[in-house]
Amino acid sequence: MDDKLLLKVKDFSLSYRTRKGDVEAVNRVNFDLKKGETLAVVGESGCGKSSLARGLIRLFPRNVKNVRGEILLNDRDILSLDEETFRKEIRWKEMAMVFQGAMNSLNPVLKVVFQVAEPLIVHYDTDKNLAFERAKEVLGMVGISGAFAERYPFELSGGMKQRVIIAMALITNPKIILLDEPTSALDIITQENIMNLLKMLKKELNLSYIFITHDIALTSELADKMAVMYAGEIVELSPVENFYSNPAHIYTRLLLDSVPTLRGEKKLKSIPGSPPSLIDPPSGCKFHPRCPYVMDICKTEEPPFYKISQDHFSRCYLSEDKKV
Amino acid sequence: MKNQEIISEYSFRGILKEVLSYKSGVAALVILIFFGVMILYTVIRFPYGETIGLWNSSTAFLKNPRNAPPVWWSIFTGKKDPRNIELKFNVDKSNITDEGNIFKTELKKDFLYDYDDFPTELNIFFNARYRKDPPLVKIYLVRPDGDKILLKEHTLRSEEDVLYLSNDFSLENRLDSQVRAKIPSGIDFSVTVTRGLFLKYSGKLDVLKGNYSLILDVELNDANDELTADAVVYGKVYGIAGTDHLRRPIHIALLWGAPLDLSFGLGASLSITLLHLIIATISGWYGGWVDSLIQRFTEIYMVLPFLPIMIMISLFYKLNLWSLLAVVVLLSMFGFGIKTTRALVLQVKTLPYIEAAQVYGASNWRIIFLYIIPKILPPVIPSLVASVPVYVFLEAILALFGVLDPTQPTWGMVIEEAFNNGALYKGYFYWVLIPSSLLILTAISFSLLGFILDRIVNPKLKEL
Repeated sequence: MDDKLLLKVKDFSLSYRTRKGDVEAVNRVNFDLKKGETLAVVGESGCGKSSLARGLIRLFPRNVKNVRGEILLNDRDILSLDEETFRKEIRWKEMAMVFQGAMNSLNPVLKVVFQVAEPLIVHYDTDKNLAFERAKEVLGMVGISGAFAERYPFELSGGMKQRVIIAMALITNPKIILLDEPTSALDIITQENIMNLLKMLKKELNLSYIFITHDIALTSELADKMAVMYAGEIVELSPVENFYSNPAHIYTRLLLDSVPTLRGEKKLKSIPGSPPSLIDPPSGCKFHPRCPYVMDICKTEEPPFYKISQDHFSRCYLSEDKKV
Repeated sequence: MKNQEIISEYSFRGILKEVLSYKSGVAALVILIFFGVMILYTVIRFPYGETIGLWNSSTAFLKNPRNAPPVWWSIFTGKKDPRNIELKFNVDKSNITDEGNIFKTELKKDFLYDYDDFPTELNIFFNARYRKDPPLVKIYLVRPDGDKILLKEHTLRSEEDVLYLSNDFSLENRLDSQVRAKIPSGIDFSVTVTRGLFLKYSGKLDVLKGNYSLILDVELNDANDELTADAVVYGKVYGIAGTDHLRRPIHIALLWGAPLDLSFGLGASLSITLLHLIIATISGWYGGWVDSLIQRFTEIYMVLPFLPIMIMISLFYKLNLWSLLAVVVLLSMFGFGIKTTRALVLQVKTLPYIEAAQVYGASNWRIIFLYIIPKILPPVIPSLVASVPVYVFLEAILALFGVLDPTQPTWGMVIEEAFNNGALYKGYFYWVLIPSSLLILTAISFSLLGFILDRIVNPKLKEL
């Protein structure tokens, strides 16, 4: 693996304005991504995973209030670029996105091959026929034959549509691909297929993924690094081996306890309570109202990022004793 | 192969097949094909410039009867109504007898008159070339019973001369006394020229049927003088749509009305619907002040009274059909359609594929024209088709208001002229009914087609 640092996110925060108050959807997120590396971001619904992904590619909703921090792509702060430069130079050229909900992410009136060629036509002003040829090539790469390229999206199955969307993300040779729950609407076998495809593409094209999912079992397939998000914050960042074998944060542990396993008589546990409101988050550690090991300090003081080992960080007082 | 079958459902042939699966669809297409054939025939048979010139000239149709109902009207009356009889005379050089200074020739034409009614008029159109003095013509009519009646002794007044025999008062008097002498029991009707000539001497107002001959005794003053004459025995019925007060055959106006009216209707509905679509999409897509501006503008437009403004504009500017079309489009540009289409756009706008397009950098215009408009087009097309008759009717209404250029023959103009000349009061029903039925036929065909397209693009309606 190439150890070159590709993406560095520093204190990235994102807040939305709503009628009830401001929502801190993403709060001081830090992580690095190397070339060819995959970061999986897991967490409950509403913890800010999708906001983070959208924030990275600057797809802000209308009610965005504050965007702070730095996103360095090859040492260039892309957050301070103006919209037009970002659109021209970063989107799809450096960073592409695979959307959630394959069913609805394709233009129903365009043929698949046209749809896949769109980013190429839009960004490079490529001749239509050349773009179509390249699109067919990429479609072949994701396993969609030429006959299907001439079809409309509604004539394709869910898995095929997802492949088309992946092809669309690949066509301009981006370095980073944001996968926003790419398999959430698919059945388990199709999920497996898509994951294999993503793995194959990663190896062949040396891609970096940021893989957003709530399906923890799926991450083991692809991830090199894990980020666990809770209430807009990354509470634990670890290499994938540590995540499964040696989780540091209580929330991570409870999260893993809720994942069914094939072997063993593990009793599934759910985490009592519900995710906190991001408008008025709890003081101290945001997880403290639901934490079974809550201490007094958790309620008042926000825990720092403890470094547990190389590349393994956790925001929990209980992981303090584990730190190096 | 299967793949192609699926796709064919969405091709033109597929849609046609679907339309034809409804009886009303067949009816709509039959009417449309009828109009298509009519337009094709018109354009080939009556070239536009030439026909419009004829239509607006005062002399082109002098040989037609005035205010004649269509020929097929006889079917309903049960009578054999007289048709136009045109007799062409031509002085034949070889047949001239030289009598000193005068060159004489006799021209004779026979014609069968077996109609149940009297002719309406009798006129002779002369066309002569002479060197010194104009020729003298004696006109006789020989009746089937052998009577030879001198109609007129006429010296041409100019090289082109028209003799209105049916308006000749002295001839009328002569015929009156002749008829009264023949019928001792007396008569209870007045004798006009045509009645006097074609009357059966029975005391009743009956036509003497049989072979008549019209004889022209021509006296030329020079051997090289030429003379042609067209004698017209005017009938009571004419053509398939009758004639108007200026003797013009109405079918010409009706035929040209088809392409003019339909292109007006299609042009208006197509351009207005497309403009609504584009404006509404811009409004819905950009939102913010653009949206507010367009919506307020639309609301102002919607309360403006359309017809009064239309009439006001036509008072200031002379409008022909095409400038009228432009004004109608301008006045309808911000219409109610914008409201409904904008609602659709707001819905489509939030679909993930639009967001996806935004992320991979498609420009606003690309999103509007390649992503949003094709998506909202299907429900708009049926209303586009169904609104064609609305604009065809609008043309007729505006014509009735006298807003249109009267030189362009459209269905509306025909109705307007009928209205101005008291057609219904005087019983010229055909003058109003035929153009009205064509208008209704247009409305029916486009509405039926619109309903069916609606059912095709909204499959849920099929269940009803």
